[in-house]
Amino acid sequence: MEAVPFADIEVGQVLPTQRYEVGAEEVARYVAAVGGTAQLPAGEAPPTFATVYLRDVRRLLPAPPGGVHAAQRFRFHAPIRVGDRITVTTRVAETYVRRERNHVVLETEIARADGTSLCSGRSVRIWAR
Amino acid sequence: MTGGSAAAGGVVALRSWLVTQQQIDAYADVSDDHNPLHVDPVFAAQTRYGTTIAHGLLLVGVLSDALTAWIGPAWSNGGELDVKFVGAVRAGDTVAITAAPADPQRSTDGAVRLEIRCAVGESVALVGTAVHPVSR
Repeated sequence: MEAVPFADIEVGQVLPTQRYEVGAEEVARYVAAVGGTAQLPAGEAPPTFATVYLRDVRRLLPAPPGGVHAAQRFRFHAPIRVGDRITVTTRVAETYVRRERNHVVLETEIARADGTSLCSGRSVRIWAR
Repeated sequence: MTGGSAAAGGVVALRSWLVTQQQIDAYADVSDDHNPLHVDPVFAAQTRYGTTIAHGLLLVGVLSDALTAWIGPAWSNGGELDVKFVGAVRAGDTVAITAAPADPQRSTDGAVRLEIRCAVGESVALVGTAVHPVSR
């Protein structure tokens, strides 16, 4: 994967929408990885589960090595459930330079295939040179 | 692992846990984020961190689990988390998550606002806020 240089990132650019079906096995692996102990209703994934799908954002907009995740925001609108068919759409919301470091702000919307909004995310990344 | 014990000054210790390389590797596998800074101790030894560090979103996942355990269903149904990653968490670190109720005047109607912190000893790794609807 060739990294996308900061200068080539366009504000407003929307990455191709990705589609997934939430799998029980993957949810279980995520819960195990974060050491999850919270009781959730049967079939419900942790609200942060969909972060696993950001792997495709990294594939669609590869960052140069050495970048840093600076900040993250989530709004959890409704629970994600095993078996949900979901869409993940990411948009470049902002780019800026602060303290001589390149910043890229990505906004991700996660929804059920029927349009029900599940989670909104906003990620601030320092884009290595 | 601890959870939800109230302390002086309104600060609540939500959880304390040891971050292992095994946990970081498990998160790398499920998120397919195999950045060598997280999973390659030889590479990480040459960086300013000196050793492997946890993914920011691994911390967020643990933090959200602690908030789910403490708050209940209101967290998954309308919760908002806003955090900054201000320091590294290294493999072998023990991270303490605390929450403190924010100034009530800064809470909007029907919502509870918490100031969140993840720290390794005196070293702060994550700061932010969590806002959730009042449970019915």
